Amino acid sequence: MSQDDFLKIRSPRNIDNFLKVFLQKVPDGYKIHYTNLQYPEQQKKSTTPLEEEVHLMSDRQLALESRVESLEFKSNIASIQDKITKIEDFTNKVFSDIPIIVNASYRPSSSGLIILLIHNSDDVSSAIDQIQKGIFKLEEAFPNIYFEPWVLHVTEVQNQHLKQSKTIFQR
Amino acid sequence: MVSNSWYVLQSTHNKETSDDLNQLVQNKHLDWEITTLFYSALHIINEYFLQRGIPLPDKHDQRTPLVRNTLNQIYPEYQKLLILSIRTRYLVNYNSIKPKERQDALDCFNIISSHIRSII
Repeated sequence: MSQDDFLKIRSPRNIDNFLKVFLQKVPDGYKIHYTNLQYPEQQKKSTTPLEEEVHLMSDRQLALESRVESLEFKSNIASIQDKITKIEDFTNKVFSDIPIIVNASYRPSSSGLIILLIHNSDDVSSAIDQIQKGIFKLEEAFPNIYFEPWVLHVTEVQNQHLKQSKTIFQR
Repeated sequence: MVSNSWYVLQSTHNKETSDDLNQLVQNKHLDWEITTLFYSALHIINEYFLQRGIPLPDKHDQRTPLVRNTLNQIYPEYQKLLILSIRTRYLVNYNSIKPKERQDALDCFNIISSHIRSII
């Protein structure tokens, strides 16, 4: 320890700087001085270099685990987002090809997706037949997802039908 | 030969309810005519699952994929009947259901019922 370092310890305003320098320079055995200075309690928890190392490793492990969890979460979200985008694109493609469909939207259900399809055909039966062909294509493309078609004529639509639904296309 | 299990009896009862409504108060309760047709189909399908040792699904989102995978021949009719019944139960006013929808539901039901009864 240099004389400069010694002088720093006698000046309280420099205590932080001193400790930084001291802890970097002195051998492990001198760290007892650190605790004698009665520095804030939380920094006194390590009494031996080994314990300190253990604490450091534990902190590092926690940081790494947190980082891994964060990356896994981001990865899962990205995967789900990717699937949703694919379903939206495919639904758009399938139902925009059916001229009677004027609006297509969807919302999540307890175990799949509700596909709300609004048509302008006067023949409900024919409209359902055409919509079913589209639903069959969706089911074929995404066999693990349950699609529940909700079919409405434009004159039957109420605000509550569109609540919490995301529009895929409208014309 | 079709058994007289609970599901078969329920299916028959629901179909009779639909027929009675149609004959007694024609076109007045089309929503319930369609709903009872759907449940009649659902019960007879449950009987099929029961006889094949397939665990009975609790919800539509479990039953529908099961019908698609095990009874593909009647899946379009089942899905159409489901769509019609969802409309009457949850989506449209009861007085906006048209007799044509009831007829469509009946056509689907007849195909489903005759197919299932021929294989159970």
